[in-house]
Amino acid sequence: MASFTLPALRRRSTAAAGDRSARARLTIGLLVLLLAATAAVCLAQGASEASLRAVMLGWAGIGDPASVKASDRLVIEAIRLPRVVLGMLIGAALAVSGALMQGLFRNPLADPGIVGVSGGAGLAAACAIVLGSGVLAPAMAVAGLFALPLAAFAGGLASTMLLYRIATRQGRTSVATMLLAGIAMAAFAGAGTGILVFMADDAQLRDLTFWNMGSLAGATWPKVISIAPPILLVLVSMRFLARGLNALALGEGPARHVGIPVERLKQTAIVAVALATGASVAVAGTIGFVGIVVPHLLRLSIGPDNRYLLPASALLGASLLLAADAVSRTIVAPAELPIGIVTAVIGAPFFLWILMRKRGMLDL
Amino acid sequence: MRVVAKSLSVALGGRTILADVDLVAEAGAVTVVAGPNGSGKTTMLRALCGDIAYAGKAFINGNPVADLPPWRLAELRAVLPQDTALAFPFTVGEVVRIGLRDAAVLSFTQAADRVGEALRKVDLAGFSERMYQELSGGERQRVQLARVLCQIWQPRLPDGPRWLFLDEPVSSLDIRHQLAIMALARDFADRGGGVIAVMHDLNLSAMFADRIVLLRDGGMEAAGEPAATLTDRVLEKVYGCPLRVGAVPADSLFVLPQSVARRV
Repeated sequence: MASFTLPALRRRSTAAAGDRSARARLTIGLLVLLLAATAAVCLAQGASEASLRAVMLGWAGIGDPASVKASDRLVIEAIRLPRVVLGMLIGAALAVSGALMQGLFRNPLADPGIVGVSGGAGLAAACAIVLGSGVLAPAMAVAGLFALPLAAFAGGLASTMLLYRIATRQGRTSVATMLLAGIAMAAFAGAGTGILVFMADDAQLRDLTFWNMGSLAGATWPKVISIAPPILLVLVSMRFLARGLNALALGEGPARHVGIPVERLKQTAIVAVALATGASVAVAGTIGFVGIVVPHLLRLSIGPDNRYLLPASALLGASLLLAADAVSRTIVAPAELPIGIVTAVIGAPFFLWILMRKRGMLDL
Repeated sequence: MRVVAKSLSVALGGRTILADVDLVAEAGAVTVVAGPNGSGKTTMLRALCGDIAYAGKAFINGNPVADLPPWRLAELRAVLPQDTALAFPFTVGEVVRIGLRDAAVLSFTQAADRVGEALRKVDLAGFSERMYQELSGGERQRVQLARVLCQIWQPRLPDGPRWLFLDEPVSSLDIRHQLAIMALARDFADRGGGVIAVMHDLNLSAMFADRIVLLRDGGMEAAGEPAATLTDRVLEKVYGCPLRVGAVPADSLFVLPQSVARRV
């Protein structure tokens, strides 16, 4: 029975064998739907009873505009919508920066949160908050809205470059060195941030604490506007990095042999990681583990081809962060749990699980 | 059209690995580079690939290697590395596809056919769905060769020959696949391409090479047709080991690739 297959069908299936791109495209389609659904739920649910339906009908120009309550509009347009957009941007940025970093370091355990890149970005952002009203005031005035993202980007860039320098020798990245150097960098960033906390006055201290816990609370349109450009830039760059990162999985030599300008690829990837991490750290503090959980789950289902892995990571990361935000808003309502706690509670055990499965490749 | 090195020298970490080597490899021929461990074989190949900085001159089809951008080099030559570990769980088919430079102009089915045919050439038909990381060393080496073949599918294009650089292509293969892979290299040269292979196996080299280049201590010791280079005197000097070419041992068993009864 099994031996009976139509010749044409068999040919087709052997031709496409080992190619998971059809499945990857389907998965991306489903992830788009998932994100739309998650976003809709997050817009509809909240502390107040604002009616999303009425407001949306109002946007579409259907029905009587007067029937839409002004308070409903305010809740949806000025509170929930920026929070949802911010969550999507940050979730996408976190997941993509994880996937990019894993491709760059040729290692599934690399993640900006774990190896101290977020810490570096955080330290620079804390510097901007605390010193921004004093020594750095002129610079802050020039940068305006973008001061915090810019500072975080600079910190993220410096730490990614330093980490890459330390962990990679002659084109080979040592996992052990990468993780250990990451611990040291995270500790240093933590200590630096601690010193700044000591120096801070009351108002700055409140800013710092609020920001450092990792939260989407206080999302505003200006915040969205300040981080949208760098994150969108990174999302666009994925298209140009994907093929190179695939080849880089074979090693730097083979990647060069198939025609990839390896040095330029690595520099672009480092800048992209720093942009995405910096932008998300600047407005939401340190939110860990999204960058490691999302790409890993996707690799299990669609494989490691970056042409699909990167966009799929952006979509799933956005959905996951919206879901985590919904949990953080509701689980201890009316108070809010910092979203960084939610992602760490899920992500840290997951990270340990990956470690246990891949213990062999750590060569410690 | 040829690959030419003129007084090629390479120093790594302050140590001279390769000194003043001249090499000419013709298209349509298999050129084997042999020599003891540490004699500079792989270093020479890496310099010709454009991987490392060198002093002296190196040309592929008349173009200075150091001046060619990566994409242009990738059109002219493909390189089979000694050992490739993969960081992520790619399937065999996905690995081979990475070599497909012209994937954009091939349709989905054409690309898949190309991958399938490359795998068939290296005797791995039906392996596309297998996970690369789960294969044996010899199978991985053949997957990499399939990838490399995809990169320069046509041995000769209107603007000149393509080059296949092989770094110990049979190091982890059984004898049957050693013969098959060498025959594949031979076929690539017969169809107009050029092959430069770093080899340890002198029997296979004698069997398949048009020209053998012997290196010792970073310098060239001998170069020419197999019959002219594989002589008692040269081999003793190069390997420091009193080898006798063509001498049949009186009382020990031996199996030579040359003795294969029919083409595999």
